[in-house]
Amino acid sequence: MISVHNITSIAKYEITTLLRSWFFRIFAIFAIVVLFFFNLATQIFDGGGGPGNVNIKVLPSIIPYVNLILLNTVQAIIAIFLASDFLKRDKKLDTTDVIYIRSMSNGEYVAGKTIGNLVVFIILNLIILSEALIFNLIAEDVAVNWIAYLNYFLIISLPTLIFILGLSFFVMSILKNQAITFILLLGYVAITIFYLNTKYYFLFDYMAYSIPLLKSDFIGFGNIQAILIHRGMYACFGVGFIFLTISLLKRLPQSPFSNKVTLIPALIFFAAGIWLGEKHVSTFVRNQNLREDIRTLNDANQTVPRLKVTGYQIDLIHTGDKLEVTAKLKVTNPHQEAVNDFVFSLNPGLNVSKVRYNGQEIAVKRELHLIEFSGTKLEPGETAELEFDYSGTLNEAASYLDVDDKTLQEAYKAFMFQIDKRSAIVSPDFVLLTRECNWYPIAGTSFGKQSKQWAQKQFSNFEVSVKTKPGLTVVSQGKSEQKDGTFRFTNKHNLPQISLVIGNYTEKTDTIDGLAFNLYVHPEHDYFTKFFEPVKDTIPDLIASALKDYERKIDMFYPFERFTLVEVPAQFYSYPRTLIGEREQVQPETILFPEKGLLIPESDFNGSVKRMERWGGRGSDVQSTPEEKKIMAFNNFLSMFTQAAARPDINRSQGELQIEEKANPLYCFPLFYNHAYFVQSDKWPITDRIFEAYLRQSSESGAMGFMRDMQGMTENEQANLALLDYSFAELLDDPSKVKIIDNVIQLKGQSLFSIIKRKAGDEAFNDFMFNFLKSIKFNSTTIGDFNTRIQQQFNTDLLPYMEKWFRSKDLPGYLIGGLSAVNVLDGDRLKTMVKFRISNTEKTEGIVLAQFRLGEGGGPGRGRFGGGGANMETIDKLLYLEGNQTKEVSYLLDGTPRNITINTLASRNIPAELRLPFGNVEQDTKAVPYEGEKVLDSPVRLVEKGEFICDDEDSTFRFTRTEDYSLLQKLLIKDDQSPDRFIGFNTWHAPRTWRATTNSSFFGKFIRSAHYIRSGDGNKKAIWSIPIKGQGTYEVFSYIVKIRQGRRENQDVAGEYTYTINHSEGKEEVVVDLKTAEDGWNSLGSFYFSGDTVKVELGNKSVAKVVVADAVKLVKQ
Amino acid sequence: MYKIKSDVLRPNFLKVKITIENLNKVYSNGNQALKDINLEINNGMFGLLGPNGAGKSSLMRILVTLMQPSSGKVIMNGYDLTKDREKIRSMLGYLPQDFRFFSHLKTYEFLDYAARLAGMRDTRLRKQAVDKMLEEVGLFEARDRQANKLSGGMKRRLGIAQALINDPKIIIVDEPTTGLDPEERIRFRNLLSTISTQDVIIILSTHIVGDISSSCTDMALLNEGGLAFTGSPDELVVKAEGKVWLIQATEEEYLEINEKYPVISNVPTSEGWEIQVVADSINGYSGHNIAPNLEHAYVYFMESKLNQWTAI
Repeated sequence: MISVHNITSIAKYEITTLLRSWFFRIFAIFAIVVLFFFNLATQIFDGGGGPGNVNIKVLPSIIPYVNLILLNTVQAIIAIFLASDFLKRDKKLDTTDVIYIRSMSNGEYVAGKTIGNLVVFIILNLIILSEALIFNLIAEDVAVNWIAYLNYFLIISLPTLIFILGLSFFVMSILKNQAITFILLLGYVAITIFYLNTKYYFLFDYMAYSIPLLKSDFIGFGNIQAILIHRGMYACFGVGFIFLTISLLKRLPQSPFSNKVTLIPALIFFAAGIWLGEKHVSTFVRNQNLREDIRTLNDANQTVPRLKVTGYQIDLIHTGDKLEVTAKLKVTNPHQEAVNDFVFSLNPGLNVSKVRYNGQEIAVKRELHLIEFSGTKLEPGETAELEFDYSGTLNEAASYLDVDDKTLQEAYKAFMFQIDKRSAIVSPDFVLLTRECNWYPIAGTSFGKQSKQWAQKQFSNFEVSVKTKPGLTVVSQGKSEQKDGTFRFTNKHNLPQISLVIGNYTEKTDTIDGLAFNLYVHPEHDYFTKFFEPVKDTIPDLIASALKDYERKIDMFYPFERFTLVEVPAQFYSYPRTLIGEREQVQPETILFPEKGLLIPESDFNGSVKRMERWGGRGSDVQSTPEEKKIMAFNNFLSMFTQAAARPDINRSQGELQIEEKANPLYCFPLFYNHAYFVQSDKWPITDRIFEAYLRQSSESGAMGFMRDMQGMTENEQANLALLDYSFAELLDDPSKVKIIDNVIQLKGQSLFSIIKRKAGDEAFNDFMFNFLKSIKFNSTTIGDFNTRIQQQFNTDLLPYMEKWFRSKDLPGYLIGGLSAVNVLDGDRLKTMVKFRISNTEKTEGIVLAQFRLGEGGGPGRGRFGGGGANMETIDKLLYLEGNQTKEVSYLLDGTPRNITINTLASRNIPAELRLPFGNVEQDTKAVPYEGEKVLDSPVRLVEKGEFICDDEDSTFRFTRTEDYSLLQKLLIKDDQSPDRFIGFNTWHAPRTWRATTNSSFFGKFIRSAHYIRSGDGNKKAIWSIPIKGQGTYEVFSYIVKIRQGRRENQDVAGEYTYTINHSEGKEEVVVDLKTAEDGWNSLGSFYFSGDTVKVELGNKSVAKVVVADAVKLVKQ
Repeated sequence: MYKIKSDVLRPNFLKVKITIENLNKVYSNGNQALKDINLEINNGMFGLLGPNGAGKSSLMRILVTLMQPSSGKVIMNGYDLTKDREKIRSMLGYLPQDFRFFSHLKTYEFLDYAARLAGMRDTRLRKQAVDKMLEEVGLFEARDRQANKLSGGMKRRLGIAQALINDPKIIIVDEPTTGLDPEERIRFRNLLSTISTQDVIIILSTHIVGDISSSCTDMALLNEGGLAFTGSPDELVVKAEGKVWLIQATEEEYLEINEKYPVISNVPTSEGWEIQVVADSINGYSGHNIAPNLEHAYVYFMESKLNQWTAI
């Protein structure tokens, strides 16, 4: 019999002992204090002046989640120490003997000790949770999700503790040395966090650090079964280890066999753990295999002709976690030949029970997701009616087949927590279906490595009727009618796809400017109505004018009759893709908005206003009334939908600032183009995206300057570098390039359309485009059709050009010189005339975009963060250059620009955007006002006659590569190991070896780069070797750019550079004081050189934080 | 010696008895700690005497189920030591030789912990028992002090207290009086003597002869893992009769005698030295036999066994 008395006795005194141990006390106090400040900062106020961190407060369940994740990560390590301590104590204390001789079983003893350890941690967890709860209760604008406090404790802390206690006991029993046990287990922890992290759907994540645990107010946990299996597995292994520890305990058991007897439960628990683990892994592997099988099957069927579906009538019944659907499809054969065999795709989780062809039940073959029709003849143009009866739920593994496994497995990490990634949801109280999950039959195959049919949109007329649980609201596209508990949706025009959302919603509708606006929110998530009450009459105007502004910006009209914003669970996730421009959050006439605006700072209205108040106090905004601030907050929210880029991910990993440019999944552009138009090309499936890229380019601002500074290269520049090595066609097929593929498409699209534009003229081409789109609205057309129209109107054949454009690896490269800006009198008006020469020295033609910013403002950090930056006037001029052509261009501007930015678009130039300052623009009375361009014979020259230059990009430039790191430094400091060719320029965290960085003001042909290094003892040298012709006296110049960082723009950089010049009479050191140095070429003096090469060195010794090595020039005298 | 048939007098009496048969212990390093020990221990105080390294601690650790014997059999109150540990452990009270390091517990907590594990479930009764025991060993004033911070003697007393809590039937104490001052030592002996009048076995291992002479009814002498003597202390003393001599010696003789015989005591006198030696005879020296005590007997026994010493 197990004696509870003994167990509680041991536990009681183990608890007493542990609570008195300094190690635990220090840790507990540390945790309590750290989390106190964490909660204070995140729940009560944050540095930005807002009321706490919106990411944490937006869903109340996040508060206990984040608190426990933080605590758990540390306690999982502390537990190792404390657990191994109990066996160490037993060994060390001579008083242990008198406990060991007491009548209790080893099981009772170990159980007591385990419970003691566990209880101590549970006490700490309770303290931390109470602390979080107190803040939760005090904090504004956030409810308390009581049950989540319990949920997360049971899911995060308990299994982690049981597992790590068991494992620590076990390892300690085997190794009998606390230090080795601790180090070994720390290694294990590190491996699970850094290497095994996301493998097999977070299989190794014992501390629940990465497994997504966010709880939605709509659907709760996104993956409850996986979580329970995962956490159950660790709990089982933990208990198994504890039983194993019992049989390994160095104490004679109560009865001779009990050591062996405890092996039985140990084995049972291990078996249970393995079983759960296997279940976890097999689900994962099965899904992975299924995805591969589907792709293979799609490729095998890619030549099967695809029917066109002209109409859908979908009747859906939603009961529990099942769907029952009857889908009637009107199909036609769009091909020139008769079709006998064809296929439809339908999510493999849905079982097809009956298929009727023109009312006749027929047998079809179901293979994975495919429904295969054979011997069903359809003549060209012939129509037929297909009817499918199917039921079941959705297998999400069949979604996003074009997304690679690695991306699929990546954690959806937000702030400090993880969110599950769902592509479709069917639960008793909530349903969310989009085309991606293939919930209705779609003609043809889905994604395969070769098969691209799925990306080609068909426009069909959709009619949907849905029956669901009483109390739930159904949202889909079209006009909605509700009768006898059935929701019916009908559409006046075709749509490329439809979505379906069923949930408990509060509905708000309004008609603004003839457009029906519908808003569906969770009944408890209306945090905005009260907030906007004082300005509610203004809201419709704000929406209307935001819409008009955007329409003007992209020069397209909103194509639908209504706009619906639906709040959906936070777990709903989409991936950026190569062949499809829209994200699943944006559906025809609908945007699926993450619940309560999770991770969308603009939806934190209250916080926005508070921040404005805080910042307003310092700036000029003091005068704004509370109402005006609310209006600003709302405008800010609206502008979020019209920004292509989301906030970049900035994180400091391994000492290096990593910035990832991210696309905004809620960007509304797809509503204007992707869901209303489609240009098809079987040969080049990317064609539609080229159109999309062309049409949306006008809405996107250039690269963000500050990001470039930190990161070294923009994604556009990375795209350009990639285009030098690979053709467009190759890049499209390379999954590793998916990050920059949008930039590539954009760049390539710009150059394609600029060809036509140049021939047609801007205005004429814009009109043509407008009419073309109007004619294909809610229908698709082919690139052939587009080309025919182009040929008719502009007499240009695009198709042969496209062929080359896909395969070519050539890029233009530009040299710019002779920049001048003067004020001239044009008639009686004073204008600014900007002149420069530009050469394209490569054989491929290209275009550049010259941008002038007039007036003040427009400093770094404008654009998105400044709330659109719409008040800044910019003038854009497109300039076309043939291969090997030089032009002199002159522009007359009404205002005085501060600088010119020459965006070289697709080119070899890095930086791709050259920002060139004018200095003071003075009036020139003699200058003749002129606007235009003329072709010059002689190209822009970098090197004049008699000059010899060595740039840091030249092969003769070298630098000392010293390896003076200790082993520890190598392990810990990784700042110099970034594989990127160019890194950002950062004086506070400069590299320890010479690294290249780029900037418009550096010297260079296409690549304006310099090498820079952290100042040191002078041993790390940059060495230029300049070949000269003939001995003699040369004047030596060094190109010096004083880069100022941050707010101290006006402050001069203090410090000096020490150059060593090896001339015929020896070495001479020349010190250049940065304070007196000019930006550009600085003379280092004249020297006599006798050899054929001159060596100039620059050491890294300086008072300045960094030393920059750019170019050295010799001028013969 | 006359013994009362206790079970006749007290019907509830559970006769306690330990039988040890052919007990051997060989450590994994080959060291044979115990050789064929055969012993019967009955109620009362049983003294286990022997020099350091004789195997006393090994025997005790086996008896308190901390260590498995290599061979042999021990029956305690009818229970087999290797099979019925649960029963045996519930009868035990044990004070090991080293008893210094405690986890972070206070004096009364440690005793309460021991009392709980000794099977005292009733909180109220246990509290009473713990308080009473603390009084008895004179630690009541120190009940709230950290056990680790107690003086050596107090720790010892705490050790005794935990060994005696909940009236164990078999009390095994290993070198209990080391580190105690003489007063404490006497108190402790008296405490054990009092308890030994109840129906318990107290096994007292010691290398201090005085501990045994004053309290034990039976004893065993262990040497090099083997049993050198079993019986009552009186029987041991008898064996040394006629072997203990008091010699009056000059300075010169004293040095000589010191070389030849084990000297038990030496007192300087006006003429030289008054020396007690253990020997079969003292040829040539002026002296006479005196009545041996246990210490003499122990020395006599150990010397004769160790050195195969015979009288000159």
